Amino acid sequence: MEYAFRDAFRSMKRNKVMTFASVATVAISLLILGCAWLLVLNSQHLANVMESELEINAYIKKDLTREDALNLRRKFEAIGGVAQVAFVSKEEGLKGLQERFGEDASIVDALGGNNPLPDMYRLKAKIAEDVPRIAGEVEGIPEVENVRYGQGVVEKLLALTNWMRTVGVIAVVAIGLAAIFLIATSIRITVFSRRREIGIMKLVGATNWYIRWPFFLEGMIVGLVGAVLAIFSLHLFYAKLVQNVVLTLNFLPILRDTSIIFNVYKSLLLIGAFLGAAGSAISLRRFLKV
Amino acid sequence: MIQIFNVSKTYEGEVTIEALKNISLHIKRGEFVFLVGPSGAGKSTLTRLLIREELPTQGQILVNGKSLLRLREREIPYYRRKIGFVFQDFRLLMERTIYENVAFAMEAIEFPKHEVKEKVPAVLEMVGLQDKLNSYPHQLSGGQQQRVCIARAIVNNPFVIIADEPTGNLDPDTSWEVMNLLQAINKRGTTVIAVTHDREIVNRMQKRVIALVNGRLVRDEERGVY
Repeated sequence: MEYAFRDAFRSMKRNKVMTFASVATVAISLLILGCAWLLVLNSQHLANVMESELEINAYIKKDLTREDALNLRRKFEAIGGVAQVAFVSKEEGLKGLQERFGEDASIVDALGGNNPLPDMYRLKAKIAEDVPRIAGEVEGIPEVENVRYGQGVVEKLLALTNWMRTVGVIAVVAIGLAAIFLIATSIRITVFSRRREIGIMKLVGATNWYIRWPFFLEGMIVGLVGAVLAIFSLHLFYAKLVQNVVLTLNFLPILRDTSIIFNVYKSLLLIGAFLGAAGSAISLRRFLKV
Repeated sequence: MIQIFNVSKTYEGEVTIEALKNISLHIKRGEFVFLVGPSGAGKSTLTRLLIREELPTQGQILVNGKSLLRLREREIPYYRRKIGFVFQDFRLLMERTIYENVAFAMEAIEFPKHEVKEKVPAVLEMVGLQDKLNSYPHQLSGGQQQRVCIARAIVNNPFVIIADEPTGNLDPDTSWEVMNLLQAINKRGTTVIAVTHDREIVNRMQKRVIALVNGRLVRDEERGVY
């Protein structure tokens, strides 16, 4: 084992350029992978935030008395998956409308003193996926005139998240393969440049594993060093990004949960070691058959 | 110790080559044997069979009573540890020092470092290169390089040394140095099998001579000549 480490470092020193190229490729691959990963995580996070803010508006028939309308609350609360029920009277509705248009124009005047708005309930779902079902049940209540929710928006958002996840996985796999083949090539060059040495090793009775270990180590060290570089730059980049988003685009919910982000870093490190080992394994399988 | 029974080796290809035809011979512990014959006679094939680089097409080879045919793939390295090799082209690692070249053979079979540190200088002293430990192969003459190769071959205490044309690249004087060294090693009890073309050396050393021609064993004489 001691010899294996020494030989691995010796070989990396001897093939400095190739080692550097492999480390750089792993670093770049993992950096792209990390960016893609954080992007997917953020879009998921964004979807979650948006989903949780989706509301269902249930407009009440106008011929109901205020008292009957207020009593409806229990019916809404009885629907499974509902997180929150809020009553918005027509007066409050008009006030909200007025606020949105500003002080310049008096809506009340324009409407000739009538309030055309119905009373309504505003519901929130616990899970976004439940929104269409809850809307359906609300529609079934006879006192409800009609139901509005972000029809289609939920579905579109979920579809987008899934799509991003798929694209992300494909990109990650493709980049990972590219990195494996680069490491394989670099190890192959090392094996090739050391074929005399390997031949002599075999003649003096070195076991196959003794011969393989330094190459495995070399691949893994290249993978790990590349991963560390990638994580380092990704961390700097993301910290900067978070800072800027928080300062200027405050409404964008960017992911700041450090434990999730550190899990990404940890996985990148493991993937780096795996890429290195896999790359070496590929070239060793082909070249050490004697 | 080495027993070869009716061994034939055929290479199938576009042209089928019968490299060895029905060879039988015994080599006893401590013997010094010359393997002679023209190019293509099958000398190299025989050595390749002995180090279990290849298997015979027919026949049986026993080394210390164990069949090479029944040796499992993962047992081969352990078998080879008992054999020392000397090559015509030395096969030294050019970018490593003399010390490292010899140490390499011990490291490859995982001797602990302190034993390597003790043994390598001792062996290099035996071949007369104690003051060249930190030189590189290209700084040495051909004869010196061959002695490094011999040091590497004996450092793991093999029971047999197989020397493939050990003097093939050397001038007559240096050739004698190398042969004398092999003879000295033989005197300590190690079997030596030397493949050679060198008529004069064979004739003067008066050892057992096994001659191959066209894959057949044509002569096997104690104290023979080329």
